Amino acid sequence: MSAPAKGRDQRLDFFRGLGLLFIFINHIPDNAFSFLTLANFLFCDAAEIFVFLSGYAAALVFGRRARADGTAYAMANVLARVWTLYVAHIFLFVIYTAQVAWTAQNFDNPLFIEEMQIAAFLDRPHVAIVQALLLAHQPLFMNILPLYIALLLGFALVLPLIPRFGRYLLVLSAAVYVGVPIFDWNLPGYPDGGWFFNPFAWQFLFALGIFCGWRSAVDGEPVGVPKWVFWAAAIFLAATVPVRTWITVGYYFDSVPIAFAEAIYQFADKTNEGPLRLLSILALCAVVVWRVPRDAAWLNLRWARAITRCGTNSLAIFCLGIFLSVLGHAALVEYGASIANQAVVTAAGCFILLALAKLFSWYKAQGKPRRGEG
Amino acid sequence: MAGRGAKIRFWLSLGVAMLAAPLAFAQTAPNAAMPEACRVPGSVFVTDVKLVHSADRVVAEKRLTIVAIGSSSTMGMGASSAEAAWPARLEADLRRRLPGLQIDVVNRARPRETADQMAKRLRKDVLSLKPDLVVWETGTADAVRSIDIDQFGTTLEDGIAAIAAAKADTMLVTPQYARDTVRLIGFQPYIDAMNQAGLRRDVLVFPRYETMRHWIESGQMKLENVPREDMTKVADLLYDCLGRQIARVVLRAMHLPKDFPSAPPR
Repeated sequence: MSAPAKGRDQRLDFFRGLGLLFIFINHIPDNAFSFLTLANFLFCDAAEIFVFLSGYAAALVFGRRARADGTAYAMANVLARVWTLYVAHIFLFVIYTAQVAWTAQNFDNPLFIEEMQIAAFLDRPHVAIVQALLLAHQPLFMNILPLYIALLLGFALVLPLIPRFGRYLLVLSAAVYVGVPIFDWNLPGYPDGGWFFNPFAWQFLFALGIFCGWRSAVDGEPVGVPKWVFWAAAIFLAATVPVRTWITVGYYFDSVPIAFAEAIYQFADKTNEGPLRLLSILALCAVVVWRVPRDAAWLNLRWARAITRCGTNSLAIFCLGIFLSVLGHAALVEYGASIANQAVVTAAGCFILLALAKLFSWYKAQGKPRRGEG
Repeated sequence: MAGRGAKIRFWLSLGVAMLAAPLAFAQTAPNAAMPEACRVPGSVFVTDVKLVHSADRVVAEKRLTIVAIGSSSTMGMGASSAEAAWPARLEADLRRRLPGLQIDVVNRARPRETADQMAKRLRKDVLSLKPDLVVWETGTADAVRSIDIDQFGTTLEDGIAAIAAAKADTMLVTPQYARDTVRLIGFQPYIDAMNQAGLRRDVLVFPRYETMRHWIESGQMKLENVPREDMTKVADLLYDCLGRQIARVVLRAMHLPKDFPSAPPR
């Protein structure tokens, strides 16, 4: 067996960091700069980047740990990580609750009495908080961490089986993915419906990430991909990007036939990670791996390193991004949502995230060397 | 794949981008005769669905019966009187613009109802009045309670089918916009589902969300941080403008003969 590539693929953290910046931008309601993010050009968006690369990173970090320190310790490590994520999610829930309470107190307008029913859960905190602790209550924009928690928990459980049965697990994962639309599997949401990111569907993308990460970072024999796959991926992107962009832009001019858009979007369901979305993210990853070499010079430029640091500190940056999107929106409410103000808020938020990522990296570097996050 | 859900989420994925559109692509105002506070860019309304049953009734019998079903904002919550609610303002404006016609707008709104709860009383409360047009304001309670989005869409389409079977037109009215609420409530999937149901069933959707967004973001109307003593005045203005805009859309969508006697808005 050849030795696994040492260190951490910088591309991994760069693109994860980029995805986290997109997530911040997209989470400011009605932000015109969301136009510039992936979702308007591709059938996948930052959520796919985050999930796939997190799978890859999980294999890299915890797979190597299993090799070095034993499976039991690695499993405990993953569970500790799950716990951290869970606490972070509850922290974000508290922020959401504070927003609701604040708005309910200050937004005393009978015109919106119906909307203020959202504060009704403040009357029944025992139910709402328990549902939040059970991850069933996922208020607006608070659905990615519960997915990540569920995915990592599953990873912890199958970790001992991966070295021997990796391929079979991937087949099982694919089978579950295929079963979702047939059997309507999902976890229950509160007060109604299911999880916005259906973990039974999204686990397949995560599993693919783990598979690729494990093969290249733990086994040291990256998944062999024939050349034509890269070409197919490039052709797929070349074909879908214009279509997706046309749907985005054409919408305003009423020029996209509804039957066509419906037919396309049969296969681009976000909750169940439709096959078009899955293919898009895989094609994107293939093309990036193909065209951006591991040691690309631009990855070491200052701006690229700044974004990479966001990826290395993914959880903290994710949570701060959500928090800053709350503040940013509050600023837009207060000072008006003109395009100029949106630009200021978006730029300021990105700058703060990049600066804090630098701070975190500095802080970590002061302690003992770490291998980054899963 | 996952059928309905997938289709609805098509609009969802467009959601964020869609919100910026009405302002960015503002065309010349087709409603220049309206009071200034009520005006919207022409691009807010992009549909050319025809209100067939309503137009037939108006042309053949010189009368029109509209029933409004909805929640608190249709009841006229916060307004000075029931006469200030938008269905009453719609009636007043239509009567003014179609002189000599027998026009009635009946308000059958109840607070805090989901689309499903409204659909359940559609036959008894609405269709029993033999309306030519049902204006169905919904989505708010559903978004607040995060009702299953596929279920919401199915409810809308079944409701529209029931209304069509009773030989009446449907117009859906989307939730209200306020800067303070959009951060807390995920309206967009529900608005998308309403647009989707409208497209699939070929019915009008009145974009109240985009309309109010324009009013607020352009500064034409101030709905936030209103002093308590001014709230009634603000509510009356909002409902009056809504009534006028809905009247405008109804009139346009009936495609009445060119020589049909009508008065301009005022």
